[in-house]
Amino acid sequence: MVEDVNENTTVFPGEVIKDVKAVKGVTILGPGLKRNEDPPNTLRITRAGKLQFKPPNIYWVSHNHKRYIPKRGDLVVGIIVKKAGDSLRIDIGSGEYASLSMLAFEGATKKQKPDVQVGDVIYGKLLNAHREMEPELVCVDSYFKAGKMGPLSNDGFVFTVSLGLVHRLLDPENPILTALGKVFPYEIAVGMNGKVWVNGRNTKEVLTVLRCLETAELHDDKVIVELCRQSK
Amino acid sequence: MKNITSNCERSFIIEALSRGKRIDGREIYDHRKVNFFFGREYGHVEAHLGDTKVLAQISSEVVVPSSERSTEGFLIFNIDISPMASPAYETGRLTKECIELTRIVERCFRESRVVETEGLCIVAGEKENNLLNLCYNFKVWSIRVDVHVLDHCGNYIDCACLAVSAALRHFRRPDIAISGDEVVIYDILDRPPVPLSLHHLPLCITCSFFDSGNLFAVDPSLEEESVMRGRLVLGVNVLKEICAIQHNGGVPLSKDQINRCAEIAFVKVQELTSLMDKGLAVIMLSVPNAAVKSTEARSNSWVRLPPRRVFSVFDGRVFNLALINSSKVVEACQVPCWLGTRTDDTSLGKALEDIRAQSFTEKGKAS
Amino acid sequence: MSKNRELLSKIGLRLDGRRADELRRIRCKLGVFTEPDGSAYLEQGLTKILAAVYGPHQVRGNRSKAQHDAAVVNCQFSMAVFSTGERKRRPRGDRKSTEISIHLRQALTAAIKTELYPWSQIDVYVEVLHADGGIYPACVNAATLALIDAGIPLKEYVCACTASLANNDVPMLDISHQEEIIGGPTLTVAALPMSGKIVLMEMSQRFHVDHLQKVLEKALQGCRDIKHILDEAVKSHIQDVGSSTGWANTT
Repeated sequence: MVEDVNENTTVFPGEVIKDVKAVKGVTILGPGLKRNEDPPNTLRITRAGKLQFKPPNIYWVSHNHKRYIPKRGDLVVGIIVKKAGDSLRIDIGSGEYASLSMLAFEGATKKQKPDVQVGDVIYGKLLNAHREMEPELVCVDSYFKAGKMGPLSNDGFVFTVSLGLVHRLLDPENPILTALGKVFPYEIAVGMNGKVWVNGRNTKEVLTVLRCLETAELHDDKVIVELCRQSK
Repeated sequence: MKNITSNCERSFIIEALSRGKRIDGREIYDHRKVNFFFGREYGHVEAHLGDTKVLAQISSEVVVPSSERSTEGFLIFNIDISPMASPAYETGRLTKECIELTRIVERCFRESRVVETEGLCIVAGEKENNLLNLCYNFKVWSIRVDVHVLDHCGNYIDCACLAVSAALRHFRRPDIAISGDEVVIYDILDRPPVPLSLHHLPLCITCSFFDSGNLFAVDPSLEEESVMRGRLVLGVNVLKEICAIQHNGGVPLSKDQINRCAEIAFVKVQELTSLMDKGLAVIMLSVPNAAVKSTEARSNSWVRLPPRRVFSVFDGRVFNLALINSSKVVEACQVPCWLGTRTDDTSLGKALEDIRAQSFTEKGKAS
Repeated sequence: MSKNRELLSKIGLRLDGRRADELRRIRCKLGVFTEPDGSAYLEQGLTKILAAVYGPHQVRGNRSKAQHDAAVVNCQFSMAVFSTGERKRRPRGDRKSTEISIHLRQALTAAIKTELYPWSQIDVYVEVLHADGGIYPACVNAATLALIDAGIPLKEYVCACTASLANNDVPMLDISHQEEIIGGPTLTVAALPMSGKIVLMEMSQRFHVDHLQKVLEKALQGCRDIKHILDEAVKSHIQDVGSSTGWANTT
């Protein structure tokens, strides 16, 4: 039974939340929570982690796992595993390989397909990620514009981080990436599946970004900001 | 599902190596951090090389020897790459990697005569005496080494050899006494067990080659292994002898490259052997089967000490009553069946009081 | 084991009458079978090996083994049950055979130009009819001949040889079975002889690093000598085949 909900409540699977705040009868549940049938109007925790609440009516459990479960609308970094006719098979770290049609790139037609090879890195969006089917990726939005999506340059480096760090990095108020950017310029693509692509001016800088993110897994943001400030 | 390496990872790792840098910040000739964890029983060692973890356990048993070599004992290796090590391995034995690892370890330890097998003989008779009986009276020790690769983060070959070497030095077999035709095997509680006689102690050093052989790195990590083109495993010992060489294709090497790797391997093996010596020296101070002064639990970065056993003399017999771990909690209690005709709580309670008093007063004593 | 027989006598002769740096007699023949794309028979001393090559053909069995940029080389090593002193119960599938298959594949993959045949498979089958020491090197040599007979493009010949130390001092070449059992450490080297590059190396027992140079050099010399012998055999085979189809009479 979870009595009061605040930022630092650690919860375990099986616990029940009673007083659920709703706006016009609607409560928004994030990952790690399920609605309880009986007793009614309560929530059951299904994942271990910290229970978070955003007023007026959003609840979720934040956790730090390694395995990515595909979700619709996520932006992910994937590696091409196979070229099969008109579509590509991409490894995004989920249970099955995702499929990406060759026509789902900006400016691609049947006569002119994008020049990608097996082993290239792609930044794309999950179009659908149904439980029973293989996930599907696209590299364009609904207006057929790519934006930043598409194949990523082969000059960079790809590595894996935990999903908790990914959520921290994608928070716009998180200071790690900006602090690092003040020391030297670099390009980074953070995929929701835990894969991160980094490109820099030379090997040393890319390795520095890699070290920095490895340290960020274990330490607080303040430590990283302090390190960046000292090395300038 | 095997993980595929992307082109940018491959080109980045090779680019970094050509500038003499590796992606985890090491130098080209550095190996990762080595830790040894020794278990409660003799011969139980878990070796960590960076994040790669391998467990080795040695056990001994008395068996009848084979008829051709009736004066030699057995040294049997059983090596298993568990599926928990990596998603690329499945259950079911005799995968290619498992066989390769088994052969390297066997060649390194068994064929280079690490353990004196003739010294493992207990009773050796003369064959001509009774042809009927042949070997029924002969007894030898059979030493069995079980190796499990628990976590594969690159280079489990080196880690496995570290674990086996440390386990061979840590292991003690029960002491025996031969009087005429009778052999008495003492329990480890009655007489301190005897270490194995080892001729030498080999360790493996792996050098990996990239990009048509001109770039190389010692002790590859998992990412480097997926990019490497060839590998040279050298089993060497501190006496500058080569115990095993395994070069498995991929990139053809020249003689000079092999000699250079051999020189590097000798330097490395000195470092690793001294690390292992340090770990073993600390562990051997706290020999578990004698009344021990409870020293402070050292939180050393590479050794975890086993719980102390405390003995009590009760009724004229010495027996193991309790295991006290480093936080002074009585962990387990065995009451042997020959304590008396009745095992009531008072005698057990008294024995426990004795132990608690003994351990706490010993800590207070200066000796 | 009884060490009362010396590996190298005072006048420098070994157990079978050879000198320290002499190879055993090698006899070989290409194209001994009709079904396989390439085949060869090789005798090195008393060791007799048959090799057969099929390929390149489509990947059979597990389609996921196919690689998009190179051919898959599949080797199978098997010893006939009558090849050793005591009858063998399992011709293949035991640990030693699997290990030799793996080593064979590694040695041959380094020499075959696999990038010319993506999505396909090359099979090499090797059978030992009589084992008398130096099995692995003889298999590699026989497999090379069979690959040449099949017309598969190679970077170079792959030749293999064993070498050992006698009396802790003198390096010996091409070790026979008796010498393996009695004697000291044996180094097996598979190399590309003309470029001097080593493709596979394995060693049993132990010896001091100072001896490594000598023994390695001896083994490489042995590989070069074997390459000359194999080359002669290939040339005479080509002439035979050519003359029967009339290549020799081109005007």
